[in-house]
Amino acid sequence: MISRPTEERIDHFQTLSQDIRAELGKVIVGQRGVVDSVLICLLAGGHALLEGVPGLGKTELVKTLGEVLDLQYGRIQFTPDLMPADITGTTVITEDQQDNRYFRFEQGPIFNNLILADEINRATPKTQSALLEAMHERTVTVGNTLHDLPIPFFVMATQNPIEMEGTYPLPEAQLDRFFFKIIVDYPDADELEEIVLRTTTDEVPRVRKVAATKDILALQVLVRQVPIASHVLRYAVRLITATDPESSEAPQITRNYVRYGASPRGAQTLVLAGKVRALFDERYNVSFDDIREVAHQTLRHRLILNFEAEAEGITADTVIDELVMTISPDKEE
Amino acid sequence: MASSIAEFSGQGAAAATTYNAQLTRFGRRLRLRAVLLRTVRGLWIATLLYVVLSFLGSLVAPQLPIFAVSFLLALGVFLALVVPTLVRRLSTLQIAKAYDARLSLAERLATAAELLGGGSESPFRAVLLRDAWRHAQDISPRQVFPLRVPGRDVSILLVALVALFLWEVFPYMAGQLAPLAPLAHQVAAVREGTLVEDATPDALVVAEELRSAEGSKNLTEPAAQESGQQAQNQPLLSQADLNQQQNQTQQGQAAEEGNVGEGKEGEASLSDLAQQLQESRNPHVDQQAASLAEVGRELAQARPSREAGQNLERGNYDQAAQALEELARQMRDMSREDRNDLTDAFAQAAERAQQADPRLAQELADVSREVASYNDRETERELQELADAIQERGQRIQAQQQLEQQAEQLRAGAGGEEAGGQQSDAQQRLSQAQQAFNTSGISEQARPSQQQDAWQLQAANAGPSQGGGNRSEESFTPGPEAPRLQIEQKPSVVLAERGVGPSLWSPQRAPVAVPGPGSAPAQVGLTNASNAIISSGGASHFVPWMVAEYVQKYFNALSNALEQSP
Repeated sequence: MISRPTEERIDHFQTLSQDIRAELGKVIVGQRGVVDSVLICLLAGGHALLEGVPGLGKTELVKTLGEVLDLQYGRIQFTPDLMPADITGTTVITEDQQDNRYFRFEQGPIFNNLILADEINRATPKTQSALLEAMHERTVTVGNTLHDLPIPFFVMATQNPIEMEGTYPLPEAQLDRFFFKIIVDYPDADELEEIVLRTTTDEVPRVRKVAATKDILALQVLVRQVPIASHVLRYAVRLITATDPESSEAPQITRNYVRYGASPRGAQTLVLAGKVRALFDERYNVSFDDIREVAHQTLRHRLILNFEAEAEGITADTVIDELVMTISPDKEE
Repeated sequence: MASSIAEFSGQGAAAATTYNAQLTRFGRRLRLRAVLLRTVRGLWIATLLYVVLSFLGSLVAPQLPIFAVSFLLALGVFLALVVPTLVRRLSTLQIAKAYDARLSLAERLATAAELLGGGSESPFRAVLLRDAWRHAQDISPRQVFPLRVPGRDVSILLVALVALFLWEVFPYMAGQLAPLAPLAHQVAAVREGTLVEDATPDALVVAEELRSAEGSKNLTEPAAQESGQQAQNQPLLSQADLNQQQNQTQQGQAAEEGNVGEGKEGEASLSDLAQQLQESRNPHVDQQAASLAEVGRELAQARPSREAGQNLERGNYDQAAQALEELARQMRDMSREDRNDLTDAFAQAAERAQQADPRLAQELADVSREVASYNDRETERELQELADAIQERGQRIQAQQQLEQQAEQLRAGAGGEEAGGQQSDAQQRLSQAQQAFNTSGISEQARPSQQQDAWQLQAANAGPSQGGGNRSEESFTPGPEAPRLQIEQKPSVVLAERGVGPSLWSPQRAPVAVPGPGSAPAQVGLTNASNAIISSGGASHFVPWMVAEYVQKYFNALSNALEQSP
């Protein structure tokens, strides 16, 4: 018989992801792709950067996710005057009952399982950098003390497009730490109608918590066990290699418009995200299509374009489209 | 074999064996299809390659056996394409990948095959294998990979076959010489004297070759051939010619009988023959001798070519040729001053030879040009060709001189001896005359009718039953029946064969026996549809196909005349 635990875990994965989608759907209208991408980040253990103009429900999505998951939820509103200590926490002098004074570390809002970093690009790069260590190593160092962050730890950041007033571009190092960069588009007419209906009555949608910490951690373990065939893995690697303009496999568009390609984190992300997507699709292996489907979210913030691309209006998504078309999975067959 | 999902647990060695067996079954179909596709593809690639190579080869390097080379290359390419497919065994992973791609199975089969092959203990092994099996058991390899050749390959194969037909078969069906018709018309005009200045170099060369190679009117049908209308399987001799030959043979036989009984008639016969031999001498050869002497004088002016020049002047043609070959070897070390002298000497010599021997003049001019250009490799080649040309002319000249001596002796014998008692001497001289005539080879303006008379006389000596009376048209038709010659007087005989290409369809593919001039071997090798090589005495002449046909038929006729000689 089939290994019952594995089958059960897979069923649990399906059920849980459906439940989360359903609960989110009570608040968020449409945006199926955005929701799936956020879930992929969640189940792969990565951070998400949601980008879109104001008013599209980015913050609402993350807030709702915090309510659906039985996790410690924290919110950081990034403003130009926000300081790093406002995020990580600071050491304060405290008096005990015997009037003894001592230093005590007051944890910042980053010490939660799910962080909403709202409008992250409105803070200065100095403040943004406070997240670097936390996002990669899941620790915070204050003074000489290393503080572990709770597990699981997710940063769900939202930002407005960089062209908007009063924003600062995120450093490349921080961008690379985001698992996905998810573009939130305008809803279509039907979705907009539904949004208006839901939000202009006195009926407030209520969501229930459907997943606890241990559930999330178990699913993350399951995701990492999904097998990937060697030729699919090579395809993912070739896709990443093709983003490097110095690579011999780089197509012309990369050589022309890309200054720096994706890092090895990009390859890890492609494969992990592909695994989650395979399970979403009720499959037990990663396919070429899985890799292609997550290529945009994975790579768009990891490709640093050059001046020519900017001058000619070439975006990272244009380059990724070309790469997906150019790099054939059959090359090694 | 478990054939349902319920029975297929996906666990254990049995499941792996079942799954691999299924993939192996899929693989057989895949391989069969690959062989079919590769075969069709190989066929059109090889066919096109053959056509293109043989076409380009006939333009660029016609002296090579280009049809054979092209055929072998095409065959090699075909085998290189097909054999690996036949030999190669597909792994289960490759088979799974192919079916995944074909059926859009999202890499299920391949991932499962890889998990099995790698002996992975993944918790997903069983569930994945079960999923893959669920998809695999419904697959019909015949439907997934039908044995159907893509229309593109079929179309290209058809085009390739049409190209092959047009290149190889059509020329034979259409008379083959059609491509040479314009040249043949020009050649005919040159020979009639109506076209001289505007004639193409090819036409001039062919006309000269024809003059050299042409047999008697009764051996060949030059008019028909020059007009490009020759039919290769037509008899070379008309019935009237055959009758004439028979009459001549009978006359020769009568002359011999007369030698026994009537001395005067025998004397007359020898005298007539001597007269005929004298008439057959070639005045052009005398001109060539004079021209060579003048060339020698010019070459003797330059230090490096002095030895060759002096030998030419003295009529030592072989030594002159050797001196030129030696000169060729010295070219690389020659000083600038010597080169200039040599350039001038050869240029002057070319001018001298222009009137009497234009081809020799051309050879000399080529040498002069190459010496001036410091192209030592080409110079050596041109000098070698010049040496060969001189040697060839020398053989002609010497043969003619020998012929004249023999005629003189015959004339003297006819006047001074009693006919009745000298039959054997007369026969001996006659034989020598025949040999001398034979060794004159492809003499320009020769009269093969007289030459044939000589052979017929020889044949008549062997008895009436072996005379020309039983020669049929077939014996004059080049073809598979063309005999190998055993000729007593030993004009050298070698076998020549057509090139591979035309011979595949040509009725004249059999070896052709060719007596060569003197003791030097001669070969007529037809390289392709339009060109041929005549090799003689170490020199090779690249000539149009039509000329070779003349030569070949001429020699065949001679061969048949000699066939029945003792």
